Amino acid sequence: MRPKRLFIILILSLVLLPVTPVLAADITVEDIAGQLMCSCDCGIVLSECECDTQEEMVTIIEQQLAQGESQQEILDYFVAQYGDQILVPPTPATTPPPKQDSNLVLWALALIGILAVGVVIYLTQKKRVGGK
Amino acid sequence: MADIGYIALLLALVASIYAAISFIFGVRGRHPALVDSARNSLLAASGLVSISVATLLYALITHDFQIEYVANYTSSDMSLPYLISALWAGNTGSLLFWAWLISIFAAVVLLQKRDIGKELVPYASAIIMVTQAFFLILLLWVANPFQELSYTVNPQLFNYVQANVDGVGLNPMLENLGMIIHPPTLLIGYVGFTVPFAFAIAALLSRRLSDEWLITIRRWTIIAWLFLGVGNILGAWWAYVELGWGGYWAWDPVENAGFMPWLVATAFLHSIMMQRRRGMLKVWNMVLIILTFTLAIFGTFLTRSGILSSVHTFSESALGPFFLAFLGVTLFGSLVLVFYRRNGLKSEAEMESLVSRESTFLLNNLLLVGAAFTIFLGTVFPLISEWVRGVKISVGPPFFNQVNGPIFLAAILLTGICALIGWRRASTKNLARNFLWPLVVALVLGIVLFILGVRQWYALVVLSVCSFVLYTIFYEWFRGARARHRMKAENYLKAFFGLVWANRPRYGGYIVHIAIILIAIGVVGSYFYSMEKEVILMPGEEMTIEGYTLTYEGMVSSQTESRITYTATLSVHNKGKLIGQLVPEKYFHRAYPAVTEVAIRSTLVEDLYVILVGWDEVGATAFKVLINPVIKWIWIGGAVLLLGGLVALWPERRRPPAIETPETGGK
Repeated sequence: MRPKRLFIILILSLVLLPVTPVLAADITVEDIAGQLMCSCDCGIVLSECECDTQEEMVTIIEQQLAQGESQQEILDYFVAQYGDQILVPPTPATTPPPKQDSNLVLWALALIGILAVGVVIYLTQKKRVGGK
Repeated sequence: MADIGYIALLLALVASIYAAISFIFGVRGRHPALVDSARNSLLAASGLVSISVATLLYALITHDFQIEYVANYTSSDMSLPYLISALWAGNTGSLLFWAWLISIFAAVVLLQKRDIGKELVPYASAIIMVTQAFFLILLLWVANPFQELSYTVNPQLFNYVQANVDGVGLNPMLENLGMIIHPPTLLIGYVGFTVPFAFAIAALLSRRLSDEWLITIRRWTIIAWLFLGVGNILGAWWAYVELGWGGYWAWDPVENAGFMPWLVATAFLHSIMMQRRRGMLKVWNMVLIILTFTLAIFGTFLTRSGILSSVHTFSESALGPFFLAFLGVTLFGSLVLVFYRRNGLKSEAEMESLVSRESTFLLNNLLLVGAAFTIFLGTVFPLISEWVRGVKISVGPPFFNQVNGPIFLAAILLTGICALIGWRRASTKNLARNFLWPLVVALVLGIVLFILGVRQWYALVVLSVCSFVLYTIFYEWFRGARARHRMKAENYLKAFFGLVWANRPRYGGYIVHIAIILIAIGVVGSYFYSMEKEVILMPGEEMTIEGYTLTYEGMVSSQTESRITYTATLSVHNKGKLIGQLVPEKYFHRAYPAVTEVAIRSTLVEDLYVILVGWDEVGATAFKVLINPVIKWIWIGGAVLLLGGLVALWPERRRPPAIETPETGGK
C-alpha cells in the first residue's frame, strides 16, 4: 500500500517539524546599553557616554524592559528610529556570519516542497485514492 | 472587579468542557435531552466569556491600574477608542479577545437556521468547545489578563505605576486608526477558520462525508477568508503610513503568519468547487481546511512564543509550548482521522484532460499551497538551520520575492486561462477562438508600454498578464450581459447588474480577481519604480525629486502632558506650481522611543512620501523622500476585495425549498 505509506510519512514529517523555542535569560539595561551607540553624535557606546541624551536613552530602555520587551525588540526599536548606525559595530573577531539570502539548502527544500505538494494533489485527484 | 472576570472564565471553562462531552455523548447515544443541555451550556459559556471581556473593558476604561494589563497598555490620558483597542493591544488581552470570538461564533453556529448539515452541528460544536477550552485554560493558568499588579509580579512596572500614578500607556506606534481595526479584523479571520475546521472534523467523525459540510461552511469560510485578507491589507497600510520606512510588506514572520492561512484558504475555496461540481479532491479539501486552521493557530504561536523576533511579537511568554502541543495534537489527530475515513472520501471522477478547467484548478491549488509552503519554509528556516547546524541564517525579502513573484504571476495568469477553458475537456478549435483576443490585447498593451518607456521586462510581463486576465473577466461580463439583454430585452446596465445579482458567488469571485490584479499592479509598480533620496536641508533650502520641488519652511515644536512633537513644514511644488504642504513629524513620548509620523501626498499615479529623519541644533534637518508609484492601487484593491467578498456572501433573499435532504442531496 504505497499511497498509505506515503501518507503516513507526510503526516509524520509535518508533525515532527523541528521547532524549538529559544529561551531568553534575564537582561539588564547595561546589556542593551552596551550594544547601542549614543545618539548624541559623540561616537561613544551608550553605556560609556555621559550626556543628557544618554540619560534619555537609558530611561527608554528601562521603560521598555519594564514592559517586558525583549532585548531584540528594544534593539529593533532603536534601529527603527535611528537606522543601523545606532548599533555598536561588531568587532571583527566575533563578527557573525553575514546574512545569507540565497542558500542552496533553502532553495532545494522549497523546490522539493512544491514538488511534494504536486504529488499529493495528483494522488488525491486519482479516483481510487487510498482505496483498496 | 478582576475576580469577576477570572471567575467567569473559570465557569466558562467548566461549561465548555461539559458542553463538548455532552454533545458527543448526546449525539452518539441518541439522548436528545443531553444535546439540549449541551446547547444551553455552550450558550452559557458564551455569556460567561462575554462577562469576562466586559470586566476587562470596564477595568481599561476606568483606569484600574491595579491590574497589570491595564497598567501596561493604557494611561489616563488615552481616549476612549484607544482604551477599547487596548483590549487586543497586549498578549493576554488579545488572547481573551480570541476566546471571546470563538464563544460568539460557537453561539452563532448553534443558533443559525439551517436546512442542510443539522446533524453535523453537535459534533462541530463539540470541536469548537474543545478549542475554546484550550484558550480558556491558557487564560486561567498561563496568561491571565486579570493578573493583579504587585511588586513580586513585575517590580519595574509596579515602581513605574507607583511613581507616576498612571499606566505606561499604549505604544504610540499603535495610535493609528489602522491599529484599532487591523488586529480585530485579522483575529476574526484567524478565529473564523475554527468553524469550517470544526465542520470538517464533524463530517469525519460522523461519517457524513457527502457535500453537506461544504455547503454548511461555504459562507463561514468566505467570511474568515475575507477578514483575514482585509486584515492583512490593513496591516500593510498601517506599516506604510505609520512605521515610516517607506514600504508596506517586509516578509516579517508575523506578516507571513497571516498570509499563509489566507493562501491555503484561497486554495480551499477554489478546490471545493471541484468537489461540488465533479466529486473530486475530497481528501485534499479535508487536508486544506485542516492546514488552514493549524496555520492560523501557528500564526498566533509565532506571535506569542517569542521564538522569532518580529515587530509584532508580544513580550516573550510561557505560551509557546502549549500552542506547540495544541498544534501537534490538532494536526496529527485530524490527519489520522482523514486517513481512517479515506474510503468515504474517494474521488468520483478523474481528470480527463490536461487542457481542462479541472487542471487549471489543480494547478491553482499547487501554486497557492506551494507559495504557502515556501513562505512557511522561509519563516522557519532560521530555526531549522540553527537546530541542525547551530548557525542562525536569516532569510530576507529577496528569497520570498524571488520564489513568490513567479508563483503569484502564474496564479494570476491562471485566473484568466481558467475562464477560457471549459470543464472536462476543451477542443483545440474552442481554445484558439477563446484565446485569440485576450492574447492580442495583452500583446498590444505590452508593446504600447514598451514604447512608452517601460523597460523592466518583469513589469512588462506582469502588466500584460494583468491585461489578459482583465480582458477575459470583462468579456465574460459583457457576454453574460449581452445574453440577458437579448433574452430579457433589458438594457446592458440593468442586464449586467441582474447577472451579478443572479449569480453572486460567481461574480463576487470575479470582482475578487479584479482586486488581486489591482493589488498586483500596485505591488509591481511600487517595487520596480520606487525611488528615494536622503537630503539635509536648512530652513529655506529646497530639493527636487521627479518633478517635485520641496522647500523646507522650518520646524515648530509643541508639547502635551505625555509627549513633545516636532513638526517640519515643507512646501511642495510640482512643475513650478504650488500643490500643497507636507508636515512630517517626530514625537517623543515620555515612556517610548521617538516615533516618526510620515507625511504622504497620495495620488493614483504616485505617492510622495516624506520622513523626518533628524535635525541638529543649528537647524540642519535630514529628510528621506520617496516616490512610490501606483501604491494607492493596493489599497483600492483591498476595497475591491472587500466588495467582491461581500457580493459573494450576500445572503439569498429566500431559501429555496429544501429539495436537497442531507441523505440525497449535496451532489
